This record gives sequence, C-alpha cells and structure tokens, in this order.
Amino acid sequence: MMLDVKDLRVAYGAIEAVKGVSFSVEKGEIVTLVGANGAGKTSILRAISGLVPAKTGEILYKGRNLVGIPPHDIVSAGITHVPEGRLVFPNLTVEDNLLLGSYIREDTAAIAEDMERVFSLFSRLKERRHQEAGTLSGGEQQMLAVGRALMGRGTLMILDEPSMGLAPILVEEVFRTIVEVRKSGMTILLVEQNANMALAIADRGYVLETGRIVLSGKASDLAAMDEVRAAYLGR
Amino acid sequence: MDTLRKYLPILGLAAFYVLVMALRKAGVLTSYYVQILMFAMINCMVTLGLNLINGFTGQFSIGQAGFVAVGGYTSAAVTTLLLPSSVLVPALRPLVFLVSVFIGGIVAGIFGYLIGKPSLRLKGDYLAIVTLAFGEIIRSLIRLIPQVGGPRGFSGIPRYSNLLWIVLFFGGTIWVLRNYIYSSFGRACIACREDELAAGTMGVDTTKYKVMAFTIGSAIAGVAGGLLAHLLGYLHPDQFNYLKSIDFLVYLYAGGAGSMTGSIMGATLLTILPEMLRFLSGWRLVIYGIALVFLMLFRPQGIYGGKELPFLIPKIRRPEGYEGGQ
Repeated sequence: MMLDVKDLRVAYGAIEAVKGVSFSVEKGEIVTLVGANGAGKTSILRAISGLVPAKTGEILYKGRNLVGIPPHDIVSAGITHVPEGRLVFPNLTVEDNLLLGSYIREDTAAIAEDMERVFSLFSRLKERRHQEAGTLSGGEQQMLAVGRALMGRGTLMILDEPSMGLAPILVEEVFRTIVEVRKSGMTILLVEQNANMALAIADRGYVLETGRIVLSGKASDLAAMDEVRAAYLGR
Repeated sequence: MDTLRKYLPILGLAAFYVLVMALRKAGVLTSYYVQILMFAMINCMVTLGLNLINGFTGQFSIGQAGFVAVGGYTSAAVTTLLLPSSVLVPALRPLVFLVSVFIGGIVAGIFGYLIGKPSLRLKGDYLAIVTLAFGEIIRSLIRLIPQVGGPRGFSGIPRYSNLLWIVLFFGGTIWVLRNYIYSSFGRACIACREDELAAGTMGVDTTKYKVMAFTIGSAIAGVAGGLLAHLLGYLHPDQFNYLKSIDFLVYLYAGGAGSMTGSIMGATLLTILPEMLRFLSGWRLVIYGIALVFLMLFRPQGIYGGKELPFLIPKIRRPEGYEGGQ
C-alpha cells in the first residue's frame, strides 16, 4: 500500500472541511477524488503534504504516519504536490522553476539528466527554458508545474485540479501527460472537478460530498453510475 | 578573457579607489565629497542587506536602522571601551578595528536571528510590526546604558574608518550577497518571495530560509554600522530612529527591489542628491520629495528593478543570450 488515509479530519477554526475520510492508493495506480467545490478535496491533499494540520486521523505513507511532519520532510519522503492554480514561480525562469523542484536533492548530475527528461516530455518548455514562468500560457504553466514535481524524483504525485482554468484542448493535453507520467512508474492521486476526464484516466475513484466520501469504486463503474453522471458529469 | 571578466569587478573597485584618491590629492575632491562617497557606500551596504530580506525573500522589515545601531554601538564599544587606541601599538589598531566591525556584524546578526525566529513563522505583516518595535526598543535601550553615553551620545570613538576600509567592505558585501543569491539558498529565498505555498510543496523549509535571509541582512547592517561609527567618531541613539529606517526602504524601492544593482544605484543617488541640493536650503527636501514622487510615477519598479548588471550574475548562472533578470 502506497498511501492509506484513515478517518482524516481537517478543520479551519470551528469549520470542519473534511469529516472523517478514509481511502487508499496502491503503487502504480491513478486514484482520483472527485467532487464539487467545497467538498474538501484540496484540504485532503494539503493535509497529506503537511500544508494544513490534520485534526485527527492517520495518513500512512509506505506505513509511516505523516501527521505532524513538516512539509519539507514529506517532500523528502517522496510525495510531490502539484498545487491548485499551478503556483509556478512567475519571476523565475523555466529552468530555475525546475531546479527548485529538485530542491531536496543533491545529485547534480542526475538533476541535469532529469531536466533533460522533463524537456523531452514537454518540448514547449525546452523552447522556453530561459523565459520567465509568468510569461507562459496557462497550459504551459501546468506542464511546468508537473515537470517541476517530476524533478523531485518522488514516488507519489498528488495533483490538485490540473485542469483548472484551461481551455478544453489543453485539458486533454494535461491529462495525456498525467498518463505519461504514470507510465514512468509514478503513483498518482488526482483531485478534479472535471470528473469526466478524471474518471476516464483513473483506475479507481472516490466521490466526495461536503467532507465525506459518498461513493467509491472502479473509475469506469463510477463513470457509468446514474447518480454520478447526473451530479458530476452533467448528462 | 574569462579571467579578466572574473576580476573586472575587483579591478573596477580598485580603479574607483585610486581615482578618488588621485582626485583628492589633486584637490578636485574635497574631504567633504569623499565623506559623502563613504556615506553612500555605507548606505549601499545597509540597503543591500535590506534587499536580501525585502527584495529577494519577500518579507517586510522596516527596522533596519536598529541593526545598524546594534552593530555600530557594539563595534564602537570594542574599540573605545574594551581596547582603546591609547593602549594599542599603532600597528594593532587596524586589526582591532577589523575584528570590532565583524563583532558588530555578528551581534546584529544574533539580534536578527532572535527577532526573526519567532516572527517569521507567521505569514503577513508581523515582521514589519516587530521590526518597527525593535528599532524603537533598541534606541530606548541604548539611552539606558551610561557606558555608551546613554542619551548624551557615544563620543570619543576612534576614527579608524577610511575610504580603503569602506571600499573593501563594500566589495565584500557585494561578493557575499552575489554568491548567496545565485546559490540554491538564494533560489530558495526567491521561491519564498514568489510563492510561499509552492515553495513549501517543493520541500523548501520556508521559515528556515526567511530566518536565514533576515539574519544575514541584519548582520550586513551591523557591519555597516561598525564602519559608520568609526567614520563619524560619535554615535547618538536618535541617529537611528524609524525615519532612518524609512530612508533605507526608500533607497531600496527607489533603486528597485530584488536587484543588487538597484540597491547600489538607489542608495548612491539618494545619498548624493540631497547633498547636491544643499544650495536650495529650505527647498532641498521639497525637491527631494518631488523627485521621489516622479520616480515612482514613471518608474514604479524602481530605477533598476528586476534587472541586474551582468557582472553581478556569476557566469555559471548566465545562459546564452541572457540579459539580466533573476
């Protein structure tokens, strides 16, 4: 088991955003959490990478409980977080952004190799390697955010709303990349409002509603369920 | 060619020193002008330190004068009270001066660490509030210490500073900061400025780097304070009030935050400008203020904001066709 979340609760002051959520991710899987705005998806991811504290519950990553561990140690443990809204460093060049992704590593030669690997995956980034990241288009910034996460050589990548604010054609491109990334041996936990796309590429999925998991199962089964289709797929 | 480029900044500083000394000898520059140049370089150092905190790491410190005071009073205490020049053979005096300036920097750095550690854990304006209070507390504290003159001011400080020392420390500051900013440490600091959350997800320990930048920036202010103390020969707590801190902020933002070139230009121009306007007597500060307003209207990013002269970027970090920027 790569990641095993048990009865996780996250609260902001008196307001509980995540009300006892349990789910798991196996090695090599793409697992998706889908749900509407405010369902608690982002809070779950932030709790996993230590950016917000978990109120109760356990987050077991390869058997080790991550609750209470600071974010930089969680990155070192192998979890890379592609945050919502991409959050590239706008005034740094594409290369510098990628170098920051390898921040926890010290093997300079391998870092250079990985940068070339990212460039071969995203040729657009290679063309723009000396350009400031803030001048890239939304899709390119998302590619950069994913590439930056790859530079950490983690084993689990958690992606928060990678399709947010992108044109449909770019959304497809981003999801193709996620599949590519999985092929390279990465395990992926994907959070999406675009349930349609997310369930199409995922192995398994969980449906969240106001901080609770209401449905779970194989992604293809979920996508075929009437209540999911009505509520999230819009048909 | 590469070696030449590498040593160009050093040669430039040396040439600057020789030129100023020659002009002084020839009587073109009076000691008044040389003194202004020395003030300008000291202000440059303080502003460069502040730039590391405000410009590169994206925090907001507004008590930089407090750290100048800590460094100045500490190093003056060493050379005046602990090892006064009267008990030293002349050959030892420069050494004692050098050591005292470093002690001033270290003590200011320790103060910076102690203040930064609790307040930089928080996001937002807390550092501004804490540093503003710190500046005022330091000033009040100094008034309570009779050994350093209390409210009467600290007089009788040996005037060890001269153009050579200041040029050396000025060059040293640029060298240290350049190497810091263009290292993985510097990149981590800039990442904190650009997006703290994203920096956290990359594994950057944001608190650590904010505290580190704050400590280094404060230590540099302390070193500059040591030079200032031994240039003036007299220190008074009111020299380091919050208006002085605001001066450094003005130098920083007028020159351009996030650019070492900008800090140097801002501090130099704005130290020299009020002196050149002295013939206007009462209107001097009005013109100075108007000049700042126009600068911010037409160049809000500062004189050299976001750009850098090439020699301030280490060669290894400069890709082909690169034209500045961080």
